[in-house]
Amino acid sequence: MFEAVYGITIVLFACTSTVSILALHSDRSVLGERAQALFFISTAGFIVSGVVRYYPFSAGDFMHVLASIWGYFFLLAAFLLVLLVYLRFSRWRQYWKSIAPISLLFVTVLLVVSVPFINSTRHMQIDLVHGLLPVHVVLAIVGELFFFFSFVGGVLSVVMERQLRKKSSMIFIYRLPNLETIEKFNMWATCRSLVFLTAGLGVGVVLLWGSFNVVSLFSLKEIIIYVSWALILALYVLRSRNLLTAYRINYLTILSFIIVMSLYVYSNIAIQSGFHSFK
Amino acid sequence: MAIVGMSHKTAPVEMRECFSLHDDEVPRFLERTQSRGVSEVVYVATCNRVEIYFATADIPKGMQIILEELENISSLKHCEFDSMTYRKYSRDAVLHMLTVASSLDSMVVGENEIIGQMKKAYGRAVQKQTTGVVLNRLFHQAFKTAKRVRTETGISKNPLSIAYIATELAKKIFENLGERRALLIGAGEMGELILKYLTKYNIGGVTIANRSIHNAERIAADINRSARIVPLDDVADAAMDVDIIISSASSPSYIVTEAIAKELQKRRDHQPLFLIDIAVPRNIDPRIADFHDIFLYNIDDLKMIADDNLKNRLNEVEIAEKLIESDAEEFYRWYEGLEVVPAIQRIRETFDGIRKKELKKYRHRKLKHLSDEDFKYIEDLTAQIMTKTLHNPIMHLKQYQSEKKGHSRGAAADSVREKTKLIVELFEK
Repeated sequence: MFEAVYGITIVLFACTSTVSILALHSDRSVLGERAQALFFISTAGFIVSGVVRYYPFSAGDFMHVLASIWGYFFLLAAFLLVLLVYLRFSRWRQYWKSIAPISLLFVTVLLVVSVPFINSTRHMQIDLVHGLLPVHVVLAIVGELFFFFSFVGGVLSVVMERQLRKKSSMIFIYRLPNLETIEKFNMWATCRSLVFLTAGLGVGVVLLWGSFNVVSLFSLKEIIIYVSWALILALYVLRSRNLLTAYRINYLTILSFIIVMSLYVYSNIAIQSGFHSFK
Repeated sequence: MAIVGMSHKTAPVEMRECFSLHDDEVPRFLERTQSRGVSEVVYVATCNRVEIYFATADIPKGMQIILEELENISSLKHCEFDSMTYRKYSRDAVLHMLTVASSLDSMVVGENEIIGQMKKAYGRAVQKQTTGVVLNRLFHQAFKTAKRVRTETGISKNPLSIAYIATELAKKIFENLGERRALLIGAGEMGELILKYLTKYNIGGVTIANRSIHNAERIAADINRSARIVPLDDVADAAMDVDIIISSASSPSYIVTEAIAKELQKRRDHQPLFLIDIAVPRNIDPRIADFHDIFLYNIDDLKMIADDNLKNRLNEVEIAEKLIESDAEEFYRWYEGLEVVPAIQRIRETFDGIRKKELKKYRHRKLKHLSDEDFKYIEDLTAQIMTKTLHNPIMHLKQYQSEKKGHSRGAAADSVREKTKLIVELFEK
């Protein structure tokens, strides 16, 4: 039952991202309406698959979900959907149509990556039983997802700049936000990414100090998070001080996100020993 | 309902202007036409067309009146302009009007002026009370369809004029033009036009650099009175605090050189800079186009975008036509229904007359003893019986009429008219 619902949800998200990309590319209002309807349907499918898998809920289920590889990717996708809904009502709502297609594609990728681990018995050993643990996890995930949004802004900016330099039809230019707005969105997302990730890491350090009297166990996943934090900080400094052209910073953002995300996914799947890993 | 008119496609401007009425003359024309027997009439004149929309019971007679009026306006004989006019009736007229309002028949497909001009023409006719049920509904339908076409297709989305394209590009680089400053180099006509558009979008500030300070002052007086005026030799300095440079000066060498651009780039802290070079020979060194954060467009680039935009607009025509056809069909179905309305009205009146007469008779004789309140119940009851008895025949009549006439004209239309007449006669004395 769960496998069927989850499979349908993945197909629905794949359709939603395809239709929303087509809607952005062709600017057909019919496609836009269909993309929106598909978004609601696939989100409903996503919720249903979560309910089917974990009903009835009990206290501590959150950490239980997170402790499995599948659950980890599922939660990542869930938080991304929540943030997307938030963006729909935020100051960026009029650019939602440009932001959503790449985000929905990423949700689809996350769900597809999780498929081989639906029935995996590998679990993260949670040695710490502390009220701050969920806070650490949520802050770190939200920080990474804001980094994803700065990646989306980077892609939009690069596409827009290329379109402007191409000097051809304005048909696509019209559908994207203006360059300055994209840059503001990038700065906004980078700032939030830095704040959330710093807070998440800070809480993690507090937890480790409280339990093991150390600030880090230097597991590969920790190192990757520290590296991504350093990259985000560097990108923030580059942006805020205009040390490089916007075009170059956006390329760096795209590249950084791809590297960090690849390492992140790899570390979660491949590494089976040490702290933070799924054993 | 019919249309008679001529457009840029059928008549040259010398001919079209003969039929163009001054604003003051239009009300008189409308009144005169209506007083001669045309129930509803609207006169539309733009630089590309002159059209008269009318609705009346006797269309051939109405057409004759309109043509005579056109002869009066132009002082031309009918035979002199007949070949250049088009006449459209019923369904074709509806389709034509919706096509015109949606600017598919315009010289520049997708332009927005036509809808304003049609609204003005309709407003004038409404003021003079020369519109009625048919033209009111037709014009409202046309405005609705035009809006649909504009919003649901890309027909009006991409600009075609060079000046407008330049302004739109600026809006795609900068979030708020109100916080930006533009520099106009030279006093070329196109440069002035771009500056005019930017001013329309509340550009934050304007600097004009020109050889002749007198000309610069003239432009400033025309476009932006608070513009800063500098001599052409001070361009390098003036360029330092602007975000948009429009260059249209006559100069044998580059005015904005690579060195100036490098200095600009350094000072601007990687903020984007938009350069528009519409001068021939060019005023801005083309190598600057390779600089990051600088967007340089010359006249050929802008023309290329205009051509591409036009191609895209034409691709949207097919989609727009489908929308128009479906809206025209919807309107026409309503319009056809109007033909049986008088018949339905007469049947109802006949039945109601009989009902009232009989009730009156009974009120004075057999129902004398009833109070007014009780008699009111009987009145309501008979009215309800009448409405319910007539409901099915009326519905069938409407349905029969739309089935018969919905997709054909001529013989079928005559048959409906005859049968409607027969039905009415059945109920008449």
